[in-house]
Amino acid sequence: MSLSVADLSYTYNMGLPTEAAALKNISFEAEKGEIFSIVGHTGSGKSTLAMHLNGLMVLQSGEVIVDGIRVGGNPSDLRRIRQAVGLVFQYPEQQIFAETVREEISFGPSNWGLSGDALEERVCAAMDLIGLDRSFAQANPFMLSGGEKRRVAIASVLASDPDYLVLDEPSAGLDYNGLCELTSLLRKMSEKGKCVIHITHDLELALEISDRIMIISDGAVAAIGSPSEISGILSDIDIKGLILPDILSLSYELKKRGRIDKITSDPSELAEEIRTASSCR
Amino acid sequence: MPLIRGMALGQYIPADTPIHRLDPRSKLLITVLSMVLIFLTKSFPAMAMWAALIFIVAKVSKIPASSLLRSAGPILILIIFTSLLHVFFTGGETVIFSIGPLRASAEGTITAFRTGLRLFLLVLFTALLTFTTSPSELSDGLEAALGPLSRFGFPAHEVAMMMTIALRFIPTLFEETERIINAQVSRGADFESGGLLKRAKAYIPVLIPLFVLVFKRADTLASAMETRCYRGGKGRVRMYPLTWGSAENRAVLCFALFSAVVLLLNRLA
Amino acid sequence: MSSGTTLCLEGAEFQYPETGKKVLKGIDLEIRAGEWVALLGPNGSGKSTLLKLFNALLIPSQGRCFVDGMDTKDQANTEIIRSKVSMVFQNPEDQIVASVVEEDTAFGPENLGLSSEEIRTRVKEALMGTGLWEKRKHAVSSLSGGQKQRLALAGVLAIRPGALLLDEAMSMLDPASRRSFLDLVRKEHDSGRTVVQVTHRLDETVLSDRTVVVADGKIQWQGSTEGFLSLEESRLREMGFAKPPLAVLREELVKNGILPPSTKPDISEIRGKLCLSL
Repeated sequence: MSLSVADLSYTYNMGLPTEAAALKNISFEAEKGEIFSIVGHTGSGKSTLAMHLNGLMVLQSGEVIVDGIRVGGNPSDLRRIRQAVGLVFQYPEQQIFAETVREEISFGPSNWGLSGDALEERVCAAMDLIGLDRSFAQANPFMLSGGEKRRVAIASVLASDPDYLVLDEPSAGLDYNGLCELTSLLRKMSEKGKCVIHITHDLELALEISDRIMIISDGAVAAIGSPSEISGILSDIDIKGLILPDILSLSYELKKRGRIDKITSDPSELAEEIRTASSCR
Repeated sequence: MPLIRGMALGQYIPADTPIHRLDPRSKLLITVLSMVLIFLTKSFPAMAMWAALIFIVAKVSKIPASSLLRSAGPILILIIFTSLLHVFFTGGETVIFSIGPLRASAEGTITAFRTGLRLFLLVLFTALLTFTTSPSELSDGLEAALGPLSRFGFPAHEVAMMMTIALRFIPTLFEETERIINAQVSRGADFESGGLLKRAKAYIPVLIPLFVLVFKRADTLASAMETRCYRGGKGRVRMYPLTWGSAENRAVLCFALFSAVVLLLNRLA
Repeated sequence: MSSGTTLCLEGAEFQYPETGKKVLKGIDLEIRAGEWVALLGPNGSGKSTLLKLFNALLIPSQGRCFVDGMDTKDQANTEIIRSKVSMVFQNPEDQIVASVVEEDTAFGPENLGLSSEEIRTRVKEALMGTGLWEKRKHAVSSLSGGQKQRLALAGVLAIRPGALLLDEAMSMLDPASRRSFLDLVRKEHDSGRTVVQVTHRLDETVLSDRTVVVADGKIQWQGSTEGFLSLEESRLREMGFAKPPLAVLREELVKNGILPPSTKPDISEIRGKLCLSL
């Protein structure tokens, strides 16, 4: 059981002078239990890709298959796919509409037909998962702080209990504590056997938290692999719009000049390498 | 999103042509006058003159014919509908054909053709204005044109400013609405099934976030405008002040002569 | 060279009239002309409110705020204060007024009532400086997020302010746009402008002269940015910050005598010095 994308292409304004290719022959497979990061610059097609994963976009060419169900089949399939694939948009707090936190979080599961105790259970589980105290349930979400609003919004997606959680730039605007909470949530979800698809422009963060990384540039897959594989090959390929994390780019440069042997994105490790190198001379 | 990039500036097609360079006030004046005149035009030779004028202006301002014709697209249905009404309801002696109680008269058909053509010309002519004048030039022109009214307390500057801001935020709000709809659909919102009331209710989760967003934006935008020293229209100087020079005089004069010819042709027919 | 503006708070407090919530609880702070100050704090600490005092968007409910010696409380000063102190907000969408790049850039100078010629000069200067001159006739909606934020900066620079306030101005940008925006800020600072930057990312602050941490409406820590970045990692965590990896690297290399202690935790500086010394 997995989410697989095969040869997916998409062009906006097809046939018009403003035609723009957003996705070009994208293929990948994301498994349950892993954090799969999709890294790309702004305008690389990441968000268009995200919207394909739960059938928000009409397929032009290629396939998206969720647990064996093909996107673009019949409408009841679409409902099943949307339940299975939870999509957290960028700045999700902007979609909050309900008068109470409880009502907001129960919006998803009640749309999928849950009610009564089952619904209540889902809401509580989602709040626990995201670390929102149950006392918040009756609070007005609009009166909460920015960080709390974001948590309510993410909880409202978690409440549908999706097997695949797609998050588009979830770390945008978070402070350090918010970021720590987010990464621990993503880890928790993958440990629970969920598949976390984390879409970001932050390669540094992706290298730190992912099991696998796919880099897209101008709508096409530029690289795919584990963080260490990705670190190993990034110096050889030039990816438009991608800024390497400082430590990584420094270590590439020193390696290229033959000063150090090992490529790393860890600052202490790099310091150690440099120290060894300088004492050898 | 690229989806709406095409409509970013309304229909404005930036270019450096004599028509683009004209003071927006002259273009507004000519457009308003032409609207009246086209409605008065009855004869086909006069309409041919209008078509010729539109063709020449489009040529000079480098507007592709396809874009111009496409601009009439959205109201083509209206044109066809009014024409059909005329075909059947104008009444007349010569019946060409009939469908049940509906009788199409020859007179009706000619009137229909005339009305349809008139509407079509009207749309094309106004489109020329929006093709060659940027939204802010338009609002500048409007502000200047309404200026005299501000002596009687009419908020000319405010109206023009509102127009500028509204135009600026159309693409942004479009994008954001799309995103909110997508987010709610992902959470299982259903806008398609059920009766009218149910469907209307389904839009609450879209409208509330949208309003919240708009109010917040208005708040920050106001601060940002204050930061940028905005204090209303008083004392504001434009980067490109409107200048009514010989080019504008010539344009208006040409149009006046053209109008005279058209009116004459109209009388003759 | 433009001359920087001095900003000063004396026992400033601020309370939102609607909610009665006290967000600033007695702040004394002086920012010298041409200084670059990083104003840090977790979300909701009051740092953005503090920033808004400096260009009279908010007036202290207690205490005073001075801009080049002028009290912001006095409304007669507001006009001149706004032309001296300009702010870039978080979301470029919230601050761009016109639909065309050059028209938006002109908005500020137009409000100042300068001559049309002078407005055009300033617009050109601001757009050239931010790398948007080529796009001057483009629709704002055709720009990328990074370009939009540069436009927001251009719109403010065209006013030629003495101080630049950045309210989390880089938080919505991707790393490439963030880097180019930061380069622009550095250029403005080099030309003599005062910069006050609100952020919660320390890697954006490495070039600043001084760091001020605000927590719960009070100044929790202040001192040189260098000193702040070399605080113990655990101390930084306590205040809600992560030490930037480059600062960690710099510290270890300085400790081992590979880098001189004067090195800033800035990528180009470290790269330059390492390539020389290794």
